[in-house]
Order: sequence, then C-alpha cells, then structure tokens
Amino acid sequence: MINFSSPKFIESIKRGESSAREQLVRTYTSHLFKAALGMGLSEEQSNDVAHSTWITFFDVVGKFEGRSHIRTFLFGIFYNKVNELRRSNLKFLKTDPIEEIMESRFADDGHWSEGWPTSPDRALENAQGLSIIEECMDKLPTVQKAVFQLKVVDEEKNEDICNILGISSTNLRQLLYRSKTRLKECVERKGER
Amino acid sequence: MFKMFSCKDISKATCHSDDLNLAEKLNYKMHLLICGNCRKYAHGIEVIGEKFTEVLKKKRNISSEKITQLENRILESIKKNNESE
Repeated sequence: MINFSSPKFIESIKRGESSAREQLVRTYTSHLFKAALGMGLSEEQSNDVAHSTWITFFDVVGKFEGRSHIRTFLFGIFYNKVNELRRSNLKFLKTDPIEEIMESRFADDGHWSEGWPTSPDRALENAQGLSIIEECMDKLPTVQKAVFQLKVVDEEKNEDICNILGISSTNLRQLLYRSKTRLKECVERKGER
Repeated sequence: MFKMFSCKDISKATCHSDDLNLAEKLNYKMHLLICGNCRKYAHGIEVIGEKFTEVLKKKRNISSEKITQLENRILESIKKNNESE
C-alpha cells in the first residue's frame, strides 16, 4: 500500500506521473461513485460527478499544500460538485424547522411532555421499511445528507468531515442532531400511515 | 458547578454521543440510568443510524466491472488533457 500522504507521492502527482495518477484514480473512484449514489444521485449522474471531480482535481492539485490528506482534498471538490448539480446549499444554516418541532416536545423544565418520546421501531419493522428509508433520506437538506453519510454510514473522523465540508465542529454536532432527528421524525410519521 | 442534563439536553447529546467530554459522558450516562424516556429516545436514534446504514450500504453495491469501466474512462480523459497542455 502506497502512502498517499508522503511528500514524494504528492510531488509525483503534481508532476503528472501517469502511474501515480492511475494509482490514485483506481483507489478512490469507487469511493466517489458510492458517495454520489449515497447523496441520492442516479447512476448516470454519479458517473458524471466522479468523472468531473477527477478532472478538476488534476487541474488544481498543483495548489494542494499537503496540510490535509489528499483524500480530504478530493472529497472537498466532490461535495462542491454535488452541490452545483443539485443547485442546493451546503452551507450551515442557523436554524432548521426540526428544532422548533423538538422544542414543542418538552416542558419548560426540560422534561419530556406527556406522550413523548415515540419510537421508530415499528415503522421500520414492516415491509415498507426500505422505501421509507429512501424517501426520508431524500428529504434531508444536502448538507445534512452529507454529514449523515460521512459520519454514520462511512464512519469518517470528525476532523475529516469538518475539513471536507468546511464546517466547524460545533456545526457538525448541530447537523448530526438535525439529520438524525429529522430522519427519526420522518420514519415515525410515514410509519403511521 | 455541575448541572444535570435535562431530557432536552439528552435528546441533543445522544446524536453525537461519541463526541462528549468526560464530564458530559458521565452526566449523559447517569441520566440514562434513571430516565426510561430518554433510554427509549436514545435507542430510537441508535436504531435509525443502524437501519439507514444497512439499507444505504446495500443500495450502493455496484458491480466492480462498472467501476473499472469508469476508472478507465477517467484515466483516458486525464491523459488527453495532459497531452493537450
């Protein structure tokens, strides 16, 4: 296994050595493609995004300073591409409607209100569980989807997630809260039908 | 001063429970020990993470042939770009 972080390897990438380029492309293309599918893109769109991410990557890699892992640099480009494609906003927003919904579930003293919390177990058990999951994932704002993918599905390190998405660790905690809470709400609401 | 987490605090903390400092972790665990409602909520959030991961990972299973084809196309166009520079 080659150390992609070594200055020697990064130099060879910047010089445009084709063997180094090939190693990098063969290592990370499947990650990019799967991440694109995970963000809800079609197979064709995922192909295109993976492709254009690499084109941009090799265009700008000369400016890469090696302060983060090259993979983090690559995925930063990738998420911007996804963002452009979905014409959505990867930025951290100050508020999210889910916070108000949650606020109403608690009494003034911070205890759960009567009848809360509810549980998603039964909604997920039945045969519709699978389609519920896809529908709810689809409804998440792009940045929350990205955070959920990176943290929960791919188990990336917090530091890397913050670098890839350009957010602070406080934002990350907030986005995890919003995404998980939204998914739970969505599943339970759909399960009622 | 040490202030016990409220249920509302727990509903937030449980979404990033791996990212709590020592005092917060203790606080969190103590609350769950005595509060059935929050145990229920924490379990719900955990189930969401597990179920979604399971389904999303399955969904992106894609043949290695398709990946190789994509890699080849990418390498081809990078090579072309390189030559035209």
